[in-house]
Amino acid sequence: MKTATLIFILIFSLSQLSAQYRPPGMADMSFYNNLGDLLESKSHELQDDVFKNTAQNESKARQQDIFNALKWIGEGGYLLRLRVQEDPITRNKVPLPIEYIGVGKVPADIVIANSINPTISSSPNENLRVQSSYIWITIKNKDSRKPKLVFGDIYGEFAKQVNQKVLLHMLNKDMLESFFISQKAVYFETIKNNLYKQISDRTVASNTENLMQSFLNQAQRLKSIEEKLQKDLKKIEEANAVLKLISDLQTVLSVASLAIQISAALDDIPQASLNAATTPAEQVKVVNEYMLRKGDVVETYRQEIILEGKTHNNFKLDLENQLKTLGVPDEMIRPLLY
Amino acid sequence: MRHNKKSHQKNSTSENNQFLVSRRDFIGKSAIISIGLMLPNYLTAFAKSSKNNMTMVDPATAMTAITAAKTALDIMASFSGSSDSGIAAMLRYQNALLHLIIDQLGEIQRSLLTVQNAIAVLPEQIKSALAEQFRIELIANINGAASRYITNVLSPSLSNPELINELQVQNEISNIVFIVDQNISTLLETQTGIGPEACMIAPLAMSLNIAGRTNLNYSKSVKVSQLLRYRKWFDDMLSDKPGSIKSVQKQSMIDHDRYISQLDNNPLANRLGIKNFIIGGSQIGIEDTDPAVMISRSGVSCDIIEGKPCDKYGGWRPNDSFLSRAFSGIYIRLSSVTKVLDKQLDAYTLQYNQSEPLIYSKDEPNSMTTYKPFSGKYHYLHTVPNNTKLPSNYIKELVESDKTAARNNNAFREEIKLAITQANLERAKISFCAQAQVVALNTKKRIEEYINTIE
Repeated sequence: MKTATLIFILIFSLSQLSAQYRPPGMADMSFYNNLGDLLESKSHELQDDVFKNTAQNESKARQQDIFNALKWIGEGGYLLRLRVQEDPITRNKVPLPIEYIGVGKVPADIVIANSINPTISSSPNENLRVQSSYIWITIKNKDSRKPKLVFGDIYGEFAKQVNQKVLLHMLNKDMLESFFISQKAVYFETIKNNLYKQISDRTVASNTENLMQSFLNQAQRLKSIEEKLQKDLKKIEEANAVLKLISDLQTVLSVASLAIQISAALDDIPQASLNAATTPAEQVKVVNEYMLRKGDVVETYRQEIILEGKTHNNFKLDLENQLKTLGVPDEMIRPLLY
Repeated sequence: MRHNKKSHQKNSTSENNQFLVSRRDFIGKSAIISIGLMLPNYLTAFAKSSKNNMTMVDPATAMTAITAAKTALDIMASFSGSSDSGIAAMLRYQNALLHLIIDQLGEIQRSLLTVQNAIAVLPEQIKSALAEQFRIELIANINGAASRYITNVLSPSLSNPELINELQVQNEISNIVFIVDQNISTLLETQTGIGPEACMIAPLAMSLNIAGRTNLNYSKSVKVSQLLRYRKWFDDMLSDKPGSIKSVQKQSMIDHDRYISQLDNNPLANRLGIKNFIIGGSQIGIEDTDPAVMISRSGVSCDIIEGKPCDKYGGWRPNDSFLSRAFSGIYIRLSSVTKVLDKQLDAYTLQYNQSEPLIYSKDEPNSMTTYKPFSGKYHYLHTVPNNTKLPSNYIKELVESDKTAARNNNAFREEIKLAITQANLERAKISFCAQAQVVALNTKKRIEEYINTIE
C-alpha cells in the first residue's frame, strides 16, 4: 500500500514536472522556485548582493504581469536576459539590469521578435566583454488553485546557441524580414485563440479579431508598396550606372553591344525604343526617359505610402488600445505591432 | 645584319636593314606586352629574364585567343539570357526542354574547346601564362563534366525518362556534381575568382550543380543554399571589389589610355590626332601624310620662300603656292588612324591606314593632270642635283629605299602600330568584361527567379 502511494506520488510529481514547458533542445532544464535562488546558484560570477535583492524584488513586483502574459501564450515561457559585463582591468563582473524580453516558445525567437532595432550591434563598449545568459520563467502547477512561477537557467552552451541564432538572423536582412512576418503570424494566432477563452463577450472577441486582421492586411499592403518603391529606386540607381557605362564605353563598344549591356542591367526597359536607338546619344535618351518614368512611379508610390501609412497607423492605435483594454499583455502586443 | 648606331647614320641602306630587325622585335614585344596586360605579374618577371631571348608571337594569335574567349561569353550570355533559356530550363530541370538544354550545353562546350585550342596554339611561355589566367584546367574539367552530363545523362533520358532513377546514372550524376563543386571551390580561391574569366564557366557550373542535385532529389533547402552561394559569387563579380569585372575593366581603360599617351612625343602620331582615340575622346583622327616628300631640283630649302625653317626631322607644312613653284616631283601617301567595328568583338578597334603612293613628276607631265596639292600637310623636302631626271619609278625608289628624310616616319609609324596593337587588346578586354557583366547579370536574374519559384 505504501509502495503504491509512493509510486503514485512519484508518477504524479513526474507528470507535474513534465507539464512545465521547456524550450526545444533544453529538456533537462531544472527549475528554481524563485529568481533569488537561481541567481544564488551563479554566485561564483555574481557576487553583487544588492543586485540579487533588486532583481528578486523586481521579479516579485512583476509576478502578476508575467502570470498574465503566460496565461495568454498558453504553452511557453517568459524570457529574461541577464547580461554580465566584465571590466577588462579589474576583471570584476558587473551585472546589467535584467531585461524582461517577452513571451514565446523558443528563446531565440522571443529575442528576435522583440528586437525592433537590432540590439546585437548596439551592445555596449566593444572592449568590454559582455556575457549573456537567459532565464526561462514558466508556470508550475498550472491547473491547480495555486499556480507558481518557476525559473530555469539558460547558460553556457545553451545561451551560446540562443545568441548565435539571434545573431544569424540579425545579420541576414532577408531572413530577418521573413522571420518577423512569420513571428507576427504566431502572435496573431495565439492572441486569436486566446481571445475566445479569455473574453466572455463573443462580439467583442470577434470584432477584435477583425480589427487585428485588418491591421495585418493593411501592414501587408503597405509593405508591398514599399517593396515596389524599393525595387524602382534600385532601378533608378541602376539606370544611373547604365548612363555612366554608356559614357565610359561608347567609344569602345558597338551600339549593339551597348544595347545588350543596357537591357541586361534594366530588364524592363522598352526594348522597341532601345532597338530603335542607333547612336549612343539616342540610347542615353531612352535610358533618361526610362528614368523619368520610374521617377514618376516612385513619386506615386511615395504618395501612396503616406496615405496608406496613415491608415496603418490608425489601425495600429485602435488595435493597441483595444487589446490593452481587453487585458492582453504588452509582451503579446509588442511583437504584433512592430 | 645588326649594325652599331653610328654606322647607320652614315649608311642609310644599312639603317633600313637595322630597322627591319627592330620592327620584328617590335611585333614580338607587342604581343608579349599585350598578353602581359592580362598577366601583369607574370610578364614583368618574364620580360626581365628573357630580354635576350625574345619569343616571337604574332599579335593576331593573341587577339584570336581573346576573341575566342569573348565568343564563349556571347554564347554564355544567351545561355543565361532569358526565362526560357538553357540555364532556366536546367535549374528547373524541365524534361520538356531537354533538347534545348542539350543544344545549348553542346554549343557552350564547343566554344570552351575553341578557347582551349586558341590558347594551346600560343608559344609555350605565353600559353602557360594565359592558361593560368583563364584557369584553363578548370575550364577543361567543368567542360568535361558538362560533356559527361550530356552524353551519359541527358541524351539517354530523351528516349528513356526513367533512366535518371537508375543507380548507375545516379552515381554518375553525383560524380559530376562532385567534380563541379571541387573545381568551383578551387576557382573561388584564386585571384581571378571574381573576374571576367570566371563568367566563362560559373553559370555552367551552377547549372550542372543544381540540375544534378535536382536529379539526385536533394531537398529544396540544400539547393537554395547552393544558389545563395552562387548569388553571392555573382554579386562579388558585379561589385567594385578588387579583381571584380568592373575593376578589371576600369584597369583596361586606364591601360588603354596609357598606351595612347605613350605616343605623346611621336610627331607623326600627333599629326594624326592620336590623342582623340583615348577612351573618352572623339575617336576621329586627322588625315595627314605618311610620308609626303617634295623633290626639288632647284636647291630650295624650306625657308627660302616661306621664311620658315624645316623642323629637326627635315619637314614642314608648305602652302599651295610654294608647293607648285618649288617642286619637281612629289611622293605622297595619305594616312589616318580610324576606328573599325570588329564584329566578333562587338567593339571598335583602331586601325592604321596608309594609302597607295601618289607620285607626280614634272618630267612626266601626263601624271601631272591629276595633281592635287596637299597644302598645309606635313612634307619632307629632298633636294636632288639640278640635272637629275625624275621619272616616277625613280621617285618611288628614292623614297621607299629610305634615302630621304621621310625615313624618320618609319620608326614613328611602327611605334604607332605597336601602341595601337596594345590599345586594341585592351579594347578587346573591355569588350570581354562588358560581356562578362551581361553574363553575371543574366545569371543572377535566373537565380532570383528560381529561388522565388522554389520557395
